[in-house]
Amino acid sequence: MKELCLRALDVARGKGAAYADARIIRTRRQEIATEDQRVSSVSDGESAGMGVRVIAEGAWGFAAAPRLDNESVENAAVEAIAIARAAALAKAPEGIRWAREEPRTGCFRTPVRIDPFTVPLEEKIALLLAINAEVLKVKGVRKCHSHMQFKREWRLLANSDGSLIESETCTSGANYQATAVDESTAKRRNFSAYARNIGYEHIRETPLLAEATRVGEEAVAQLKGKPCPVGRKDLVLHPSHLCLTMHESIGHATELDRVLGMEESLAGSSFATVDQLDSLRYGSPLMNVICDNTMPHGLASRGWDDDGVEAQRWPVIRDGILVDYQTSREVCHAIGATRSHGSCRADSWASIPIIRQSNLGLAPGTERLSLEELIGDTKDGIYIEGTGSFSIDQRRHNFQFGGDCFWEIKNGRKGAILKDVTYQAITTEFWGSLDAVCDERFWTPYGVTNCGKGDPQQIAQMTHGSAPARFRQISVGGAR
Amino acid sequence: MTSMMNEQQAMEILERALAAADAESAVVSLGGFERCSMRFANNAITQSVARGNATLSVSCAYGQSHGAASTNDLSSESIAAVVERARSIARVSPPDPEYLPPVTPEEAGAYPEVAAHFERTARHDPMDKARGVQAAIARAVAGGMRLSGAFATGESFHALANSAGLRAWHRSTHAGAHLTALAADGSGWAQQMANDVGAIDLESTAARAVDIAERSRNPGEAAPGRTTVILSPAAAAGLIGYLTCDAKATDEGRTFLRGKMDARVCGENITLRSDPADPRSPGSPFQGNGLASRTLRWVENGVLRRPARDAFLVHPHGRSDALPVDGNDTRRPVPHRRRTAGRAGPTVAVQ
Repeated sequence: MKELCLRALDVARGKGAAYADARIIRTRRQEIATEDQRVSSVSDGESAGMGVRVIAEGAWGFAAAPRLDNESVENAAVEAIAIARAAALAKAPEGIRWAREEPRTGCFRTPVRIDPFTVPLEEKIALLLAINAEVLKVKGVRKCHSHMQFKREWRLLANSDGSLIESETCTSGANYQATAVDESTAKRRNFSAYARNIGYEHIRETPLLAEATRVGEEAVAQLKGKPCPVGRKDLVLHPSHLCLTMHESIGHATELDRVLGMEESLAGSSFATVDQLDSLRYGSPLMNVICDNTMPHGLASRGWDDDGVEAQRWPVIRDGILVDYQTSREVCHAIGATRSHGSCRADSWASIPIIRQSNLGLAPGTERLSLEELIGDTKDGIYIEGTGSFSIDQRRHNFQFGGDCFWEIKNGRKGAILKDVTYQAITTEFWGSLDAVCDERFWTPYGVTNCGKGDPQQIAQMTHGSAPARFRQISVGGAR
Repeated sequence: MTSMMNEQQAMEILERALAAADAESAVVSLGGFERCSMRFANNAITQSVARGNATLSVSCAYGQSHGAASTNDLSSESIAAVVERARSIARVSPPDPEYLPPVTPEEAGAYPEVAAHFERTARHDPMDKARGVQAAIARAVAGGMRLSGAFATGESFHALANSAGLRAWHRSTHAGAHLTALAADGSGWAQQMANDVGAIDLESTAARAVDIAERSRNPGEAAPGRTTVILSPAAAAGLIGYLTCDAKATDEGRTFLRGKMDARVCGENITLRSDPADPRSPGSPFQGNGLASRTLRWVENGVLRRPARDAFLVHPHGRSDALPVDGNDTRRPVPHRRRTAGRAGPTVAVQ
């Protein structure tokens, strides 16, 4: 495989590439889906190929080959050069400013105790059906869907800097959804072993079955839940909910390609413009947001990115101030950086690398504070777990979020379940209202496996962690 | 690249896979594509990508126990391996009471004639695209604006074979461009999609985006509350998907369409139908399971006629052509669909 990569690089350089990289990726996925006591689908797919990326005549070219032989990879390199030359017809006047990077060699492997692909299918199916059976015992639950997914991805990257990098990651996750139905409506409650880069031990160590009755009961309880109030409430947000709010309002907003307008026509841009670096008050002084692609079991942790840049840990928001972005070798110069933070990834051998969110999280509070103490300190609020629908504008500034389950907080006590809660805010006002974050004992990572970006669209995965946090006087109920 | 195949090449691979699948029943399919796209932003091309792939999918069943596997390695060894993976999954999977055997040629019905492949789209090369993008950018620059967007063309095929003797083949081409023009205080978006790249004019699409951006300058505040909005065709089309819920979920009370069959769900000037042979937007002549695609009415004069349904729900004890079926491998079909404008013309008014 190494020889194929080097052959592609030789051909690209021989045809005039100023820079070239070649990635071979081999992916295997297994997915199991059940509905009540029925196994609705079991699939096992594999895909392999090579992507060749070049800079020629000041423009990018990328071509991908599904066959791994000399002729195919040579053709891919030739085609990448040809398409770069065509693109040069309308290239940026300044061309591509490609940040230097020292050649790297190495190998990264996800620590895995139990390879999920060696676990018998029967065991996985039995667990999912047992969960469904338990959920369906709850009176009022009409339906239970459950799902497991596993992915193993091996990649080899060689580039004209002289880097040769190998990685093998393994992703495991499972989730289920209880649906309760009454005469007028339906409500759902979810539970997950959130995807992580880890082995099957993650599935065995997550109390999937033990939580099934509670999950079913909370789906039923939402049927009779009090409607979402309209007005302003203090929100106490669990990490299983905050992961999506962070993803949409911080993660995407601090992707430097978006900030520079490179995603304008599809994914959008960002309000957090470069001229506001080191001055934009993104949130309250309690807000510290860290990107960390060295995080153990993080979904974006794989040693190096597809630019050949080593995984790093860096702050993007410090004490509420925007201090950095997620960058690639192509765009880091725009903020005066000489080196990328290593946020450039492709989702498959057939995709060109683009900036993707890192493992990004809200740092825990420094004062000792538990979730119970935080709720106890809240007079009139709403506590939210899990993710639901969301909407956010093209600049990541004006948003609305739902959730999976909601509880009223009255005089420091978690009370009745609410239904159909939504909250609306301007990003900086929302994060500016952050006034408490629980301590590191309660910091929990949650995985996102379906982040779409790019054209052709690519689906990336990353981890977002936080501790429970409180946001004061947020507008709720605007969607009613 | 060589991911595209003709019918004979594709069927040869499928016959090898079927021969290897020593199951009671088997469905094999081969889907492939080649696509070339250029993205641009800030008045310059930023990404240029050519890619292709072909994936063999195999589904085997023993009784009502089934399993599926796929690969993009089309060597003989790999075909044997992927068949074995599908078989081994099927052997340990419990019976699925909703499993239906492969569709026979008689059950499949007659496939409609669909003209979806255009040679000039298949032959469209990167330099053609770059010239189109260059013209579009020039139009935006002349209007004092920044342009971003993408222009892509592609070719794809889908071949299907099953142990009941059904064979199906379809190929198509696709072209599309979407553009955003940015002024200092306004923006405009425009899109063109077609199967024939000859129908795409990037410069005029850019002119439309520039015009919208020009007219969007000096925006005012929209007060919160209820108002009448007019949606462009693209915006209206984006909402149509939310009118499709699968029949099983609806029957079980899990969707907003519960109890609304044959009831008024929108204005009587609205009819929603899908027509795979519509030359303005041709679809596939057959569904994922091989059944013929048909012209269907989903909403008729504002009345909901049928939510999306799969084959099992149409006839739980076999298969019937008494009702049109749009089941596919996902069992959650997304129908090909075109909104028929009523007297409202090319836009839909929503109160």
